[in-house]
Amino acid sequence: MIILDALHAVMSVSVLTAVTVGSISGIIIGGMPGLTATMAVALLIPITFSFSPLIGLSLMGGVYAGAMYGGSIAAILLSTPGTPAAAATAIEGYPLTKQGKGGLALKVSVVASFIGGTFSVVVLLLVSPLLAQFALKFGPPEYFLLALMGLTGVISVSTGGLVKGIISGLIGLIIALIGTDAMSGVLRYTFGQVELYEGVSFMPALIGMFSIAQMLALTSEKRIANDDIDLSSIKREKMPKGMAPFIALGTAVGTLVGIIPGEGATIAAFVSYNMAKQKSKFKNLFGKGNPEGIAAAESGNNACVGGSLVPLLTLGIPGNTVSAALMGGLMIQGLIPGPELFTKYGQITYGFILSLFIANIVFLVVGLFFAPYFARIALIPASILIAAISVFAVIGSYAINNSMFDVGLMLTFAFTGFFLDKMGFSLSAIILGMILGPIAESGFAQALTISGGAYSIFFASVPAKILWVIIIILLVQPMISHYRSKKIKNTAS
Amino acid sequence: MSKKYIDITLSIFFIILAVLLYRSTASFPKSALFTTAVYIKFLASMLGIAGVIQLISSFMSDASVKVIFAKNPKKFFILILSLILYVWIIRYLGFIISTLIFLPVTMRYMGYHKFRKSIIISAGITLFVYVLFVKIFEIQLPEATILFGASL
Repeated sequence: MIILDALHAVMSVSVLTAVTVGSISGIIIGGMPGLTATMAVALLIPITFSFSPLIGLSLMGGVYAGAMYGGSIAAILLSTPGTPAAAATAIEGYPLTKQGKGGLALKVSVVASFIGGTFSVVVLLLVSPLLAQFALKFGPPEYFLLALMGLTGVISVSTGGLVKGIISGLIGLIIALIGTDAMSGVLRYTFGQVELYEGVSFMPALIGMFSIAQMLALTSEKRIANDDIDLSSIKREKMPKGMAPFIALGTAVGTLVGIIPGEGATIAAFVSYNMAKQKSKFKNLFGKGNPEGIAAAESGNNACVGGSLVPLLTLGIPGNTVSAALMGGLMIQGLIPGPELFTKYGQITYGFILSLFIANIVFLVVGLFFAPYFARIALIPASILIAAISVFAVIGSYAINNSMFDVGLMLTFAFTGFFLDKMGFSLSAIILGMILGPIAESGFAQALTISGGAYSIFFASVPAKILWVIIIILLVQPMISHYRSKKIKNTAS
Repeated sequence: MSKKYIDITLSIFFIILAVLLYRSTASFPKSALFTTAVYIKFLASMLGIAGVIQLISSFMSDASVKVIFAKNPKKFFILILSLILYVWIIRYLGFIISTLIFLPVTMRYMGYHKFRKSIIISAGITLFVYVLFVKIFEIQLPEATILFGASL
C-alpha cells in the first residue's frame, strides 16, 4: 500500500517537474568537466530545503542520475570526461567519434546507462526494506562499527596511501567532536564561538571542498575540452548487436560496487571496463573504439547510483560523497536515514526511489534525441565557470542557515581542502568522517555505558563480528595491492 | 616545494594535535570520563600513531619530489584573494552589488577578456540567483548594510 501511495505522490506534476529539471540539470553539470555530481547536489540543498521532502529529494536524485550519465557525452564527443567516472568511456568513445561513429557511441552509452541505472534502482527497491528491517537488530556497538566500516571503505581507496587516508578520516572524526558533548552536555573545542555550539555543519565543508577547491584547481585550465570535432555532423545510429552481455556485466558489477562503502562510480566503471576487455572476442579493438567497453563502463557507473543509496537509506552510512551530499539533503528535511525511513516516512522514501526510475527515463529520452547539443556545454570557458560556481558556492553556504560564519567556514574548508588534496589526503574521507563522527561517538559511548566499560561488547554479537571481518578486509586489501605492485616494480627493475 | 618537507611539517602538526587532544580529556566532567573521553583518547591515539608512521615514511621519502599547487600561481592567488574580498564586501554591500563587482572582475583575471559580454553574463547570473533564491524560493540573501541600511 505504501508503494501505491508513493507512486501516486510521484505522479504529481510538481514531482515529475522536479525529476525532469533535476535530470536535465544533472546532464548539463555532468557534461561540464570540473563539475561533479557531489558539487551539484551540494549546491542544490540550500534551494531544496524550501520544498516538500519528496520534491526536494526527487530533484537531487534526478541530478545524481543525470550527472552520472551526462559525464559520458563530453567523454565520447570531446575526449574530456565530464566526471571521473566517465574516463573509461572516453577511451573507447572518442576513437569512435573520430571514425565518424559518435552517434553509435552515444546510443550505446545512453542505453547502457539506462539499463544499469534502472536495474540498480530495482535492487534498491527490493533490498533496502529488508536491510532496514535487519538494521533494527543493531545496537550502539554495531552502529559504532558501521560508522567505522563506512569510513574504512573510503580510506581503503584513497589515492594518497593508506596512512594518509586514515589521517584524513581521523581529521573528519575530530572536527565532528566540536560542539556540545551529547553525554555530559559540556561544550568542547568551541573556543567561545556561539556558532560552533551545535558543531561544525558539514554542508559548508562539503561545498567548500567539492566546489571552491575544484575551482582553484581549474585556474590552471584555459579551455577545459578539445573542440576539434564538428558536433553538427553527429548522426543518429542504431544500437549495435552483441551489447547485452557487456551491459549485464557492468550492471551487476556497478550495483555491487555501489553498495560497498567507499567504492564509487569511477571504480565501478573501470572494473566493468577491464572485465569486458577480458571477456571480449575483439580484445584488439579495445582502445581503438570498441562499443563493448562503453556498454560495460556506462552501465557500471550508472548502476552505482541505486547501489550507493542502499547503505545510505537503510543504515545512514553514505557510501560515497554524492550520497553524503544527499544525506545532507535528507537531514535538512528532518529525515534521519535508517529503518524509520521505510515505515514512518515510507511514502517519501519509496516516492524518492520511484522517482529515480523516472530520472532514468528522462535521461534516456534526452540522451537519445539531444546528446550532441549537450556536448557544447563543455566548451564554456573555465573563466566564466570559475566565477559563476564561486558565487553559487558562497550563496549556497550562506543560505542554509543565513550565516556569514558558514561562508567563512566554507572558504576555510576550501583552502585547507585544496592544500590537503594536493598533499595526497582524501577529502572524501574527511567529509565522511565529519558525517559519521556523531554516529560513531554516540555508538561508542552508549555501548560502553551499557557494558559498564567492557570493550568485549564490540565483539559480542554476530553482526558485530561480521562488521569486524569486513573492516579488516577493507584495510588489508589495499596493503596487499600495495605489496603486489611494489613486488612487480622490483621484478621489472 | 619539496613534498618531503611539507609532509614532515604536517606529520609533526598531527602528532602535536594528537597530544593536545589526548590531554584535553583530563578536564572532562565525570559523566564523560568513561564514555566520550575514552572515544576521544582512542581518536587521539590513532592520530598519534598514524602521524608517527607518516613522519617516518616522510623522512625516508625522496626529497626531490615537488608539489605543484598551481600551474598558474597568478590566477590561483587572485581567485583566493577575490573570494576573500567578495565574502568581506558582501557583508556591507549586500548580494547584488558585491556579486556585480565580483563576477566581471574575476572573469577578467581568470582570462575572459570580452568586457561587454562579461558584464551581460554577470548581470544574467546575478539576476538568475536573485530571482531563484529570493523571489521563487523566498530564501534571504545577504543585504546591503552600509549604503542604504536596507535590503539590496
